[in-house]
Amino acid sequence: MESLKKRAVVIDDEKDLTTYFSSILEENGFLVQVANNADDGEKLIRENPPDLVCLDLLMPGKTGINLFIRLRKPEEALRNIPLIIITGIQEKLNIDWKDIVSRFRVRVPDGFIEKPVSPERLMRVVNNVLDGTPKEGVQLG
Amino acid sequence: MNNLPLLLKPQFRGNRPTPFFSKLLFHNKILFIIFLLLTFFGVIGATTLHFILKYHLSKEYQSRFLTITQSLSHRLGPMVLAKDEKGISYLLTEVSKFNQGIVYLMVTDSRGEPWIKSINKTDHDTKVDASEIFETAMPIKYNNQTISTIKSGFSGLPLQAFLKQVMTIYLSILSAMIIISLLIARSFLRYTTKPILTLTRIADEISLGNLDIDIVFGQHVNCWEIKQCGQNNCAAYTNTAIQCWFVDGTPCEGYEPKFPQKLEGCRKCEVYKTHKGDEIVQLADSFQHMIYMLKKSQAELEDSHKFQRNLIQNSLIGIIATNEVGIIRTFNRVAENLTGYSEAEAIDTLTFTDLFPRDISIKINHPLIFDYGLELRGFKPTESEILNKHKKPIPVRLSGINLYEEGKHLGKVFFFQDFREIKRLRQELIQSERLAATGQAVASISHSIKNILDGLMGGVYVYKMGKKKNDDKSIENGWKMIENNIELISELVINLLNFAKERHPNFEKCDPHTIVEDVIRMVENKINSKKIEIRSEYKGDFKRVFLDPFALHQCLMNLASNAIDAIPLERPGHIVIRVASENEHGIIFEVSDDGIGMSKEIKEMAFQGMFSTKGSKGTGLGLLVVKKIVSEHGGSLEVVSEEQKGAMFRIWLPQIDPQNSILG
Repeated sequence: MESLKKRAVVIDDEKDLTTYFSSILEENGFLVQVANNADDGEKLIRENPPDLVCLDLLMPGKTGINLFIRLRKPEEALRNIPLIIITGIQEKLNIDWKDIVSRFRVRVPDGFIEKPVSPERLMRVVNNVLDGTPKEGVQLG
Repeated sequence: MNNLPLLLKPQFRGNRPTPFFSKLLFHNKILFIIFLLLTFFGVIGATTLHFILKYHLSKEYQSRFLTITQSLSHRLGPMVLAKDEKGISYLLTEVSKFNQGIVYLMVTDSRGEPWIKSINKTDHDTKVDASEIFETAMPIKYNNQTISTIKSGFSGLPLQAFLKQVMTIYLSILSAMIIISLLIARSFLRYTTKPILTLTRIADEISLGNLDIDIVFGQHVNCWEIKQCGQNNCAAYTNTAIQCWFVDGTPCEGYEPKFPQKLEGCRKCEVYKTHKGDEIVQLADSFQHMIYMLKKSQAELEDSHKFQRNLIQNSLIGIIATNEVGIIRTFNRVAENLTGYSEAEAIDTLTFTDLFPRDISIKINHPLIFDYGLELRGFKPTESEILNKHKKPIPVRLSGINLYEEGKHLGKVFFFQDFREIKRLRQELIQSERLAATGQAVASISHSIKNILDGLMGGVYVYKMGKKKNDDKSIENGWKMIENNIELISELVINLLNFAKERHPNFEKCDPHTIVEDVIRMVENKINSKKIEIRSEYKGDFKRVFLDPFALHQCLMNLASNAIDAIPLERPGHIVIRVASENEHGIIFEVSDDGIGMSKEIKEMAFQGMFSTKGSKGTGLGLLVVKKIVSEHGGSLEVVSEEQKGAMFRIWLPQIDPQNSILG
């Protein structure tokens, strides 16, 4: 049965949060791999492309943003892996996925959840993203 | 002006005044000299005339009486022989009667004794001084034999009377001539000295400042007629109002184009020579040139004065200048508007101390700058006040300086700008900045709280799941997450309190070792899974260190936490806390790491507060709290960092002796 489980990769620099998100996803039948920095996360994705990626944009040294851009570039083979951005808002750095999308001409994320994240909100977005029907726009949590 | 060849180096050789002579008018001086000369030569002439007349007349007089005596001696021979006493006496008396001046005639006998004497009225009428009598004696001969002697005596008085008469006439004529000469000379001198008097009057007028004087001396000449030129484009051509040498740009060859430089050439020109008269005319010319130059420099001076006054009056900066004792001499429009005093009310009435605060009179005498070896005293723009007419202070930005000219103190000048609007704007800015900062702080703190909330929610969720599944590991993990985030909340609260609270450092003698080692012990707990080596270094003597240990602990904790966060999880890192004492001046604390470092952009934002690069964990409060504590200590905080190479934060704190502390 294990092999039928959907696979998810959770990337967040905060260890508590990867634990939290992975717990929620595991509870809902996902096989979860976690990474606490962008490089490790990218490695996991490329080694074995998952069914879902949960990515924190705000990680030290803009690594989260760079990973998002790399994964969603038009020429990227893995660009269609469903990707949900989970992030807080940092006004001063003007980090907004909409800006990034328009500036770097990358594919929009499939879902977006602003912290704090409740298990219900997370799963609603995850289910919306993965329910198999093609969707216009971003699923917001 | 100095390069004008026609201007002589002024050299004045004043006469040593003789009291009487110097007081006389010029023409009287000349008259006096003429009088003296005429009198001198008149007297010499009179003396000479008297001497010559006397000499020649005496000779004539004597020869006349000799002739009389001789003729008598010839006629008396037969009468003496005949002893005709009566006849002799009659003859002698008659001769005496008809010849004035004969004092006596006497015939002696053969022995020489007086025999017959003339009867002469002068014997009775006048007493004749013996010294004034010429005496002669002549033999009376008959047939070549001396038979008697005739003696005669003549008085010089008639001769003297004649001489006196002649001299009187001469002196009268001489006096008349002197008087007539003096009168003629006086009229002539009056005529010649009149232009001098006119020039004197003109000089007086000039000294009174009246330069609009017409000086008409010498012959007015028409250059175009003398030169027979047809230059009708020349400004001097047919110009009878002004002489050509005053006109600039005449096309005459070989001359400078402008007056007065051209004058040197003009003086050699036939036109000028025709005009040129005596010395008076030349003097008048020089006067005219002088007036021209004076007018020109006066106009230049007036222009410059007007320009300067305009500049001062219409300056958008307030200007008040005083004389050397502080009395106001310049008061411009801005000063009028700001104070409510009019220029007339302020000038010569108010002093600068009536308008500016008391400390300004001290500040204005502070050494400011050295300018070419001269020490200028004053002060740079500073916030101050000016008192208006109703003694109400108005905020101004004020600067002032003492004015010197060749070492002499001339006065003071103050420059000021109305600061009310700027102050109001600044207040508004502070207000809006405060609002923005508050908004930013609230956003940042709520963001941080959101993160902590996530952690707490996560902890509770994991704990619950563990409980549900009876999974001890999950229970433990969940509990740890809850604890961690409670710790984060307490950290946030401490930083918030530190940031918000206005507090003075509590200086006490303390040992930096204890503080630093305690910080290291505390942050080691936070390192968790990271491979970080943290150590400390000490340099110098810390026997007399006065610090607020709690505040410093907070600073080092924040910096060390930042350093840990800057080191990526995946590679080992190093953190060093260095303490160095800087003699007696201060103490340095450095916290350095070899983490991800900061870009220029991030470095700039780092100290602005409420800024964090730490993703979910940062509030941006940490560094702000460090900055605040350091400034409360009177110290400084700096950062050296390069991207990917780490960062070093350096705190410098001055050594404070709590006894004399100005901060404590």
